Amino acid sequence: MANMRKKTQVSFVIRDEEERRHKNGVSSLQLDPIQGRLYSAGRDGIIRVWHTGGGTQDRYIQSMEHHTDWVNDIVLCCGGKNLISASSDTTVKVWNAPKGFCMSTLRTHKDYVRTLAYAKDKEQVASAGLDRAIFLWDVNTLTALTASNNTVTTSSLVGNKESIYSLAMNPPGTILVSGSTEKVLRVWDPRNCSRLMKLKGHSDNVKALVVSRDGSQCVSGSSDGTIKLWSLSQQRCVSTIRVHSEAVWALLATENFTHIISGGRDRLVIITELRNPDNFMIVCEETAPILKLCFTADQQGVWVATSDSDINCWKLPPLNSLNSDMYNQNNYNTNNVYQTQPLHHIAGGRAIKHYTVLNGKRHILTKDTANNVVLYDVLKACKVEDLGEVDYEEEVKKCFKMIYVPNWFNVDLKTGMLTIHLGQDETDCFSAWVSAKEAGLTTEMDQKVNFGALLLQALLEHWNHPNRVNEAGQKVIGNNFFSVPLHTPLIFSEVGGRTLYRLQVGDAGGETESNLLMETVPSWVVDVAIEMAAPKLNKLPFYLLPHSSCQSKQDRQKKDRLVANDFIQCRKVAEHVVEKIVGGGDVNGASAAKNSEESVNESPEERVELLCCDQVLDPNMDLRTVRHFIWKSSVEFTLHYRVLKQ
Amino acid sequence: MPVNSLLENKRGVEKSKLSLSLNRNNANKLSNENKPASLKNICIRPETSGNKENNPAKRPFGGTYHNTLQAAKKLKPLTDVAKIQESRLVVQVPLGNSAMLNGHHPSDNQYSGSTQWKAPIATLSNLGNTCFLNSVLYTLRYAPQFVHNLHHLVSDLSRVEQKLGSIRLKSSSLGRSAAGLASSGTRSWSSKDLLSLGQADSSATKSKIQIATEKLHETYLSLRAAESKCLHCGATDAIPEPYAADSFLAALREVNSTFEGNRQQDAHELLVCILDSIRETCRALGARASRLQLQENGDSNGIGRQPNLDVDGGKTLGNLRKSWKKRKEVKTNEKRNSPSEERPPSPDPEKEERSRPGWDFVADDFEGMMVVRTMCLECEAVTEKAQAVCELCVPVGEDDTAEEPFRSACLSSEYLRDQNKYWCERCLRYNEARRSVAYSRLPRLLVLQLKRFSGGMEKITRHAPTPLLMPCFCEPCAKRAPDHEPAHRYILWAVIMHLGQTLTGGHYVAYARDSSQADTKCEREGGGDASTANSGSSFMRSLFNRPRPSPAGCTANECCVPRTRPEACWLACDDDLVKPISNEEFEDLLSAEPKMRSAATPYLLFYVKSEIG
Repeated sequence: MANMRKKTQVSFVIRDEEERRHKNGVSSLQLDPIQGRLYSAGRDGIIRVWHTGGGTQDRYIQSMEHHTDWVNDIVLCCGGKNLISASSDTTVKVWNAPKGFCMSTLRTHKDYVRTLAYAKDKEQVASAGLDRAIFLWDVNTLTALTASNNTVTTSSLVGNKESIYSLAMNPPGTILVSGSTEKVLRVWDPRNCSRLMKLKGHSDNVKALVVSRDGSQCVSGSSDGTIKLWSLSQQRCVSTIRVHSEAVWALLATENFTHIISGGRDRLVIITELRNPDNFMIVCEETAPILKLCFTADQQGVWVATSDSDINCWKLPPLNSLNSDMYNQNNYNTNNVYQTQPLHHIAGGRAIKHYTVLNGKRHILTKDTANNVVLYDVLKACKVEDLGEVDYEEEVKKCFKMIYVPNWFNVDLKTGMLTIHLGQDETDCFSAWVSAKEAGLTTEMDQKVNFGALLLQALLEHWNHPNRVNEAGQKVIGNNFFSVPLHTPLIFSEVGGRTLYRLQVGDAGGETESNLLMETVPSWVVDVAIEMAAPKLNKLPFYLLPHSSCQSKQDRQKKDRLVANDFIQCRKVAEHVVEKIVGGGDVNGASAAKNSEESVNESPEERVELLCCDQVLDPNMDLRTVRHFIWKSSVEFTLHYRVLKQ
Repeated sequence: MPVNSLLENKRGVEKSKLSLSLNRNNANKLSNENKPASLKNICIRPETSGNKENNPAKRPFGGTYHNTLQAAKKLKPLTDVAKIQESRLVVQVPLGNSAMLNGHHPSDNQYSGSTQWKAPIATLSNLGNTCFLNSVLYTLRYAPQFVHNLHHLVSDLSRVEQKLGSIRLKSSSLGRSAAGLASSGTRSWSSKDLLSLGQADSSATKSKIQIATEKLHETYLSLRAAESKCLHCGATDAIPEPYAADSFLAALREVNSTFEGNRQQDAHELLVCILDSIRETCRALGARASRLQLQENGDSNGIGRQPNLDVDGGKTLGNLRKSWKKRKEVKTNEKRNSPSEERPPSPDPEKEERSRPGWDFVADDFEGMMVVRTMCLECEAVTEKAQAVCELCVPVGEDDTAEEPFRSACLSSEYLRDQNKYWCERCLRYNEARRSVAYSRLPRLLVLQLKRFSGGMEKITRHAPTPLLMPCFCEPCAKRAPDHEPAHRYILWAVIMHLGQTLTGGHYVAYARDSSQADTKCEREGGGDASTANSGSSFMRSLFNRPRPSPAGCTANECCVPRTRPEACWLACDDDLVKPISNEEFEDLLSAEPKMRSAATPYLLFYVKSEIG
């Protein structure tokens, strides 16, 4: 049942070809100690790979791009050969880590995938998220998947009643712990998927977990601000560590489980001795809430990811230097931190935080976290101008034009980059018809173009669709006006939901891509982008009356109800008045012809002027603009005409 | 030529009281069946309101009741609580002296011998499916300080209107010079203009609302008069004739057409309507009083301006008044934007505020402040919205065994997730969120509506515990350390029970605790010196200077406030049957398995706040 399927949404991202910096917070970190590489999972949907070696040269190696939403967690497995990622686009992806390409996508989750756990000895990964499900994956099976051999069996751990925000497994894979908004820890044996226990004690969401190698102990970090050490063998909470003033979001245990390093909403990284929680030290203070911690290869330092885009590496204090002084002073503060300068710093980029769609419904003005203002062209999917640190509000005012074009897209800033969703339902992506000349696409008069149609044609320009042939047997390419950047990510997804397919515009010509597009692209897009069908025009009804100051000889007081395309200019209405109402008095065909000859010399706007709400209208203004800015109502739109010369 | 139908002044009030009671007397002359020799007779008396659709199969109080020492003993715990509460909050147990304030010594009470009644209790007759009305009228009659406050509202209103009348007279004698005051050129300065000035947004409904408020007062006045008459007539077995509150009902129907027709109505809807009407009347009075003040001060430019006093009043009240359910928002044009702002802590401005004409006592007594907090589960940032709320709606039957049965229902917490995620303005995306409801302040008179009619019309009859004493769950109390006493708690003073299966059918019975309200300290009259000295204007002083505290206390005590009974007790109020019942009997009614089986279920619960320590 085709119409039972969820509607497909078409989206794309406006960005540079290479985005070398994180554009949003960093959710997760993984270190490859052999290669000396750091993998970072960005909320901009991109996993980036960095050199960790000395020196301050550019550390960027490459980007791993395939997710379309926040990447929430990553694990590096198979000795650095593969990477598994979990994202809010509801997918789990398997990557070739050194080469950075996506090998396969797992779509078993129904909601954001929030967390992963890894059992190194067994090469087993668990994924969990807001759909309350935990899936266990055999990494070696995942990496062996091919286009023909594309089925994978997974075991699932059922029983969670609420959204899961954290997972942990011990390296041998004998214990799995999950933390959720249920505020309890649930413990499983992943070998037989049996539930072992439920541990109560936290008073809020549990967002961070670590399990000791032997599976006898577990440490949990909660939004209630506490860290708890649990004995799994005794099924009880051994101690509660209160070193943070706000929620604890990240935990890292030392090799032998003697110390715990923690971070969270209070932006502090703190190291605490597990068996003697009075012994702790503030390692550093970050500039934003801490999302993830990761040891350096020598375990002498810690990489810190925050909800800002920067990544810092901080030196850890020697474990034997911790004492209870800080605690006993009872007034520990941020002056009392071990390090004030990071060892290493990987600078992040800026996230777009504000946007304004300009009235022409083509350009967007944005402001980012550094107050930089940038102008983008949605139609051509590119940046127009970087205006620097100017007054955003002032710039928005400056860009105001009295012109009205219907909405045809929605803007999404969740990744910190501009994602444009072509409209459906209430915002129809084919609603914006404009003059091609006004849009600067051609010098030809009177040619109308549809923004949504032009853009779809450009986005799918490279798709070798069998119907893409014109009558003369020639291939039709694009929209004849412009192309969009080849690197532009094009995304098909369920409306407001899961991603179906992502590709770059320039890759649409490939065989695999073409086949996947055939499966994914909805017919309304094919009609317009491939078959070049013209979208339907928007009709705008209005009434046309003689102005009260104008005593019409014909005495036509009857309300004339007319319908016109919403983009026609007032000049056209004036022409109509001249032809059909004022000049139409002569029944004689010959004199009508004479009339029209005369009017060649005299433009209609010189003979008739149009008014709306007693305001004389500019002949260049179109009807929808008059209705929006002058009539200011969607009903009973009424224009008046006044004859200037008979 | 009366300005309107209001009671003119204090003297007028008394006059009309007399005439009213006379009228009632003439109208209901000698309905002998209603004069039982004993309580038993009342109970088996044939039902007079034959058009009642759903007579209860079994009366909840079919036996004889003993208002005895046992009952008084049973009341002890409540008495202790009452003693330590702040003077403003009243659940008081009269100890004889209050009875004497009314001129009746307990010793010369003629009823103490053969009958169990210590004082006559006025009753309301059923006008045809009007038990919803009667139950609410009874409840409000015994609401601590409610009738007292209503009395002052209505008498202030009549004072203002009397003054307006005299201005009219003055202006007509002065002719155009007074009209010049209005700077409205051709129009003469008539009282009508003044009135309409007072209510800038005057409309037909508005005056209807005022009439309803006045009729409500009149009803209580008549009930009181009926009780007084019985006491004075000398007969030992005199009981008041049932009073027909038809004029109030008519006024109410003018205000809200929902109450037209002879169908059964939702008592809760009625309560809301009455409180709304009073609130509107307060507002109108406040506006008129300040208009008057401007006139008297000779401020000729004041006509188009917002009167000072109104602005002041708005500042202190606006925050509480901001939104009282949605319909409230529609009604009030002036909304202030600082709902979370608390009233000034110093007691003096508050006291002055309470004695201000047009003081919105409904907002003060019935409104709490609800705080809704939403926390994004990713960034854990909290957004907070505060909103004034009147009665709280509680689901039935959850947490039956809980020690604080309503706490968990009122302090709810839910997750926004799955298809209902929360758009976080910081994360710029849809995330899961937790939304919780708490109360930064709970009102002095807390009304709980049990959600027995959610969704369809089928009533949930499950038993819900109705504690006589309830710990407070406002935020300061709820957040307290477990070993700390809460700052206040709530004491049950009334219950409206519903019998039958649907909201639009069945029968309502009110149970209210009758406790003395006579020796309540009246801030209107007792503290007149302090408050009027602060109010600034000499005119306001002359207009609203309350009489010196008379030996008998506040004038309301002699007007409309229910007569003091020698012993506090629960009253079962079932239309024209009002009987004292013992605490045991009352508690039995509320218990899970009452000995007296009845189909009645508590629907509206009324609690009064009591400060601790």
